[in-house]
Amino acid sequence: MYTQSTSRPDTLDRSPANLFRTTEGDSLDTEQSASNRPANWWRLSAEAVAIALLLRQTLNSRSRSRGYLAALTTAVAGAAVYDAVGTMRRRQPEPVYLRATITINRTVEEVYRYWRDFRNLAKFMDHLESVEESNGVSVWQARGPGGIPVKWEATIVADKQNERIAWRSLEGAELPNYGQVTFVQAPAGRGTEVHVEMGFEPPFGPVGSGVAKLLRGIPEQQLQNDLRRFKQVLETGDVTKSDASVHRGPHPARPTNNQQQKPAKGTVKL
Amino acid sequence: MKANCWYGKRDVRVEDVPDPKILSPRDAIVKVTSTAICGSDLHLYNAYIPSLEKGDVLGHEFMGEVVEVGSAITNLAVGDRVVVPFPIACGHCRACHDELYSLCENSNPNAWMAEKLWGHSPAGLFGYSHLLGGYAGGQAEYVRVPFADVGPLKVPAGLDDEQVLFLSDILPTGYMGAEMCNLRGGEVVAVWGAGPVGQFAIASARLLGAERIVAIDRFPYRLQMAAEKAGATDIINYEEADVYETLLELTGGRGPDACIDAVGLESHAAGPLYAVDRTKQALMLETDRPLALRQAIRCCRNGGVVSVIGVYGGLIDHFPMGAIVNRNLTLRAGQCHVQRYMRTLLDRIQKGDLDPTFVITHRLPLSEAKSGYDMFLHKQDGCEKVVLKAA
Repeated sequence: MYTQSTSRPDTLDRSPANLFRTTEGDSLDTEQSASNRPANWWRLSAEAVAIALLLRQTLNSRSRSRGYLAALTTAVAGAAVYDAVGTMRRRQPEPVYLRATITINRTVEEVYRYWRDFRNLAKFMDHLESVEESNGVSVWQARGPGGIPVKWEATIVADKQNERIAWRSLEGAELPNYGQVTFVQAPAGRGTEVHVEMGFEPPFGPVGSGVAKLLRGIPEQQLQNDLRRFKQVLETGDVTKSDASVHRGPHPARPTNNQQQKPAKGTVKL
Repeated sequence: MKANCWYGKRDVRVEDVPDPKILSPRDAIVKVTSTAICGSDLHLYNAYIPSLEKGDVLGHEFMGEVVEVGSAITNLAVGDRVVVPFPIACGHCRACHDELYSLCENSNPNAWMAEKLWGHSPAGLFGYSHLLGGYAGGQAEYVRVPFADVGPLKVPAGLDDEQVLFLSDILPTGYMGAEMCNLRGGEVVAVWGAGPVGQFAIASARLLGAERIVAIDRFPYRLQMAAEKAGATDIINYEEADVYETLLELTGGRGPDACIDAVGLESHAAGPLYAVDRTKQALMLETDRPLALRQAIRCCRNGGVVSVIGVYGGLIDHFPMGAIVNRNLTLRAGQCHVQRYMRTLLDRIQKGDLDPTFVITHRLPLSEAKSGYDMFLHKQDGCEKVVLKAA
C-alpha cells in the first residue's frame, strides 16, 4: 500500500516534473548522502589522528626521511580537507519525499470535491492544523513532530477536475514544499484510487537542518495513515476512534475518564 | 464501572475503570447484561496474541440494553435489548457492501500494525488486542459500540439472554464453518474440536444437510455433548484411537467430504509431534501449533474442503501444501462475518431448529471472571462454556 522511497521515483506521466520547484538531479538524491554521512565523520577523525602521528614523526625524524614524511603528511591533510569540505556540503538538509495511495468507495467526483476544498485536509491529516484559501492562495498551518508550528502559503499549480490537483509553496515559505494528488477510477466499480505525492525541501542553515531533522521523523507511514483517515471520513462520516486510539501514546484499551483525548483527529500510535 | 482487564499471561482482574462515552455520532453505549468467555479469549489469557497492553478490557461476546445513542443513530433507542457482533463494521466500505464484515476497511484505527503482520488489515474487534483496534471489550458493565447502526441486532421479546447471546460470535462462527463446506446434502463432515464453536459447527452441518458428522476431541464430556446435543453421529477420542484410520474406516476409505478445524493455534495431539510443535512455539520458531489442521488436511477426501474457523495469529511450520495441491483440496478460512448470519440464525432459534443454550455449563457473576477463565482453560468441572452475568 505504501512505498519506501528515499530517492525520487519515476515521474508519472500525469505529473510533469517541471511543476515542482526542484529540477531533475538536484539535491533530491538523498540516499547517497544519507548513507555517506557517518562514514565521512569516521574518516575525518581517522585522518586527524594520522596527521597528528605523522607530524610528530616528521619533527622527531632525521633530516633524510623528513622530506618524505612531510610529503605524506601534506597528502593526508589534503585528503582531510577534501573530506571535510564534502561533509560540510552534505550538511545541506535533505529533501523529504513521501508517497502513498488508497482506494475509497466513493465516486471520483465526490473524492475530488472533498479534497479540492483544502480546509477539509486538516480533518484527517494528523500534522495539519488548518488550511485557509482565498484568491488562489492557501495558508497552511502545521505542527512539526516536536509540536513546532510551521506555516506556509501555497498556490495551486494544476487543477484538472476529477483527475488531479497539484500545489506548491510560494517563495519565502519556512518549509518549501510541493504535492499532488491524482484520482483514478478503480476497476469494476471499486471506487476511486487516490495517489498522493508530497515533497519537502528544508532551507539552508541551522533552521533548515533542524526542520529536516524533524521531518525525518515523519515516515511515509504517517501519510498512509492520513489517507486511511481520509477514507474513513468519506466512507463512514468520521475518523474511526477506539478507546486506545483517542490518546496520544500507549494507552490501554479501556474507556477514559478525563478529557486527555486528542482534539480533533483520531491517531495511530507510532 | 467494573470490567475484566488483562494484565499478563494468565492474569486478568476485574477492576474499576471509567464508564465509556460516546466518541462518534454513530456510537451507542450498551449496558451489558450477559457476556461470555470465548475460546479465543484463552489465546489472549495465554498471551499468544501480540499487542495487548496491561489494563486492556477483554471480551467480545456480549449483549445488553442500549442506554445512550449518538446523534446519528436512528435505528436504536434507549431501552432496546441488543446482541452485538464481535467484528466492528462500518457498513459503507467495499468489504461491508460485499457482506465481508470481518474485513471492514474502516473499523481498525491501528490498521497499519495489522498490515505489517498480515499484509492487509481485517476489521477491528472488541477486546482483542491493539493490533485489532484497541477497543475496550464486553466483559464489563458498559461498552461503547461504534457503528451502532450496522452491528447490533435487536432481540425480539420473549427470548432470554442465553438463547441469543451466542449470536455475537460462536454460533455464526460455527455456522460459517459449516457453510464454507459447500454442503449439498448427504456429506460426511469431520469436526476437530468439540468446544463451543465445534459444537455449533456440528449443529450447523446437521442443519445444512450433512448425513454423518464426526466429532474429534480428547475430553469425553465434550464428545458426549457433541453426540447427545449437537447432533454428531460419530465421535473419536484422539487419545484412544487413530483419527486417520478411524475416519477412513467410517468412510469406506474415502475420507470425510469436508473437515472443519475448530481448534486453532493451541492444538494438542497424541504422540511426539505435539512436543515438537509445542517446543517450536515456545522457542518462537513458529507462533501457532497447527496439529489439528495438518490432520484435517491429511484426512480430507480428494477434492474435499478444509474449513478453518479456529484462530491462528501468525506462522506455522510443516504445512502440507503438497496434499492440498496434489489432491485438489479447497482450503477456506476466516473470521466470521457475524452481521451476515445473525438474522438467519435468530430465525432458526425462534423456529426451534436450534437451541444454542446447550453449550452453557457455568454461570458466574462478572466479578468471578478470573475463575471462569481458569476453569475453561483447564477444562475443570466439565467446563464447556462460561456465561458471565454483568447485571
